[in-house]
Amino acid sequence: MTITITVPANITDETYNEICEGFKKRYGNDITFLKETDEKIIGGFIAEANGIVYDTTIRSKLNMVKKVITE
Amino acid sequence: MSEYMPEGISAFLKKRLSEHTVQTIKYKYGTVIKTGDGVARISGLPETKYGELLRFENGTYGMVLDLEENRLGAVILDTGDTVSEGDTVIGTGRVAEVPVGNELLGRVVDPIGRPLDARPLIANEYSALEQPAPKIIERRPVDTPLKTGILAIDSMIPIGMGQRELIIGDRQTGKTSIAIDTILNQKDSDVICIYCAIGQKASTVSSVIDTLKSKGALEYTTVVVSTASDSPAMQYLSPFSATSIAEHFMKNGKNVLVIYDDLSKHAVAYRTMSLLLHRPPGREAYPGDIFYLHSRLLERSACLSKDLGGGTLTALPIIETMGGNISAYVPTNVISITDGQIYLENELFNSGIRPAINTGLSVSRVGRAAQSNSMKKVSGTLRIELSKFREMAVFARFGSDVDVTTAKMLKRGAVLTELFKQEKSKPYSNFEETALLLAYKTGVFEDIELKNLKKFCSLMLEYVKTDSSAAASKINTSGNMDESDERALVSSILEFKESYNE
Repeated sequence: MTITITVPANITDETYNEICEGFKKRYGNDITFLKETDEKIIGGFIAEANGIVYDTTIRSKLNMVKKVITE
Repeated sequence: MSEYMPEGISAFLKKRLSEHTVQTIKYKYGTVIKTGDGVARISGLPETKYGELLRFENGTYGMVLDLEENRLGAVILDTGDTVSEGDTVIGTGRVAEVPVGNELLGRVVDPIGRPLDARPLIANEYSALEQPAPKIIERRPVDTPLKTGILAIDSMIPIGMGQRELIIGDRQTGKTSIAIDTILNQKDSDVICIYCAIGQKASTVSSVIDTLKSKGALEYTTVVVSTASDSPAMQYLSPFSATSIAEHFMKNGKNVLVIYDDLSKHAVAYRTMSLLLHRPPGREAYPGDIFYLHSRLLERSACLSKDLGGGTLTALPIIETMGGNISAYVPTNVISITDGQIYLENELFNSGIRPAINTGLSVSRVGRAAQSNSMKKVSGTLRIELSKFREMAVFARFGSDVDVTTAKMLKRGAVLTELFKQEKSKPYSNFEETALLLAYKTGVFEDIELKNLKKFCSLMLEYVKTDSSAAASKINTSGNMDESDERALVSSILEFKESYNE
């Protein structure tokens, strides 16, 4: 199984590995991780696993705040 | 600008934000593998429901209508090809919904409840477009009349609250006019109206809205619109949306009237959608479930039992025929689903008989039971008389001599035909209808020239209304007419007749 993790460029290896460990705990050790970088997410990460997206980015949180304010 | 207080705004925004909790978003997604003609094939999204709304990358919505092993077929609820291959799709987990409630009154909305009248719509309640119809135990027989204000219909093809009465006819025969007149006639009753335009020209819809507005009927009406330029999916959804809005009122004990204008276009839109989704075509290329499409829609009209609040949902679906052919596929389907039909004929329309109702082919299967007492008393034999007249009129055309009884019958028939002619947007009250038919019954019209009949009628109605005002208001409010009322009305009619000279 492959999990794509999108992170900002300035992330430390330590943090990245911690994220990977977290997914290993949930899905088992047989995972290939693909690292992608995207500055636009500001902070946090997006992980895509088996058609499910986990989105913890600052960008999406700001978008939700925007939606709450303008709706 | 002083009314926009900055402190107020910031306090409001702070409150909104404090109610909001930021959390990790988790969603399932799929990918568009093929798109075109308003239909998209999507891979992924394994746990999607039938009818679920999907959100495409660019914010467009779609609705799932095909569930296959590894992929989904969805229709795009927007015009044009705004979705492209490779786009990601997110399941919203919700089926298509529409806002419902009193906020909808006087509004013009599209099938998914977005306002089209340039005013914001803030609704508190939503309802799914597809709902199960009320069960047998939840219903009661139709027993209250729904007045259309059109004499020919109220006397011979009466409609009851909770009934489904089809209006069928060629183009330009006055189908929509009958429907609109019925809405206008609900002004002083407690009936809420929903007008659902399906695949109509925007100009036609706009003129209907103008008519409703100018006659003060929009305040108790909701207009659900999908125009000819909307996607077939939107056109397919609009009657379901209108029904959901109506059902909400019905469940709250209200009486509701829904006009579906028209279901032939709805069938065509559904055919388009089905063919694009590669469903096998059947007769006239309609898909196999075209009957079920309309039967499940119209089955939601009901007369709820008193335990459930006693609300009713009356449906007036409209079907447009081609060249008077009522035995085409969709017309026969809808005729068999509904509780009767009002058949409008081009020939009658062109010969000046308007509303152009063919009384021979029009029936109401449940309405008789729902007719008001006063109307029952005066309308009993009209249909038979009219059909006898039609029969005789054919012979009389040959110019052969007729005996006295036949001549009388021909005259009465001609008077009745003239009496049933009625101008657009001029509904009769219950009392007026009763008085006209009572006058016909007593035979006062028989020596009046046909061309003067309308004038005589309007003068007579005015006179009778003031002369026996007690009976008039009683009939208008309760629909009851006892023998003394009848005698009072007949004597006023005869009095007027004596004083009248042409």
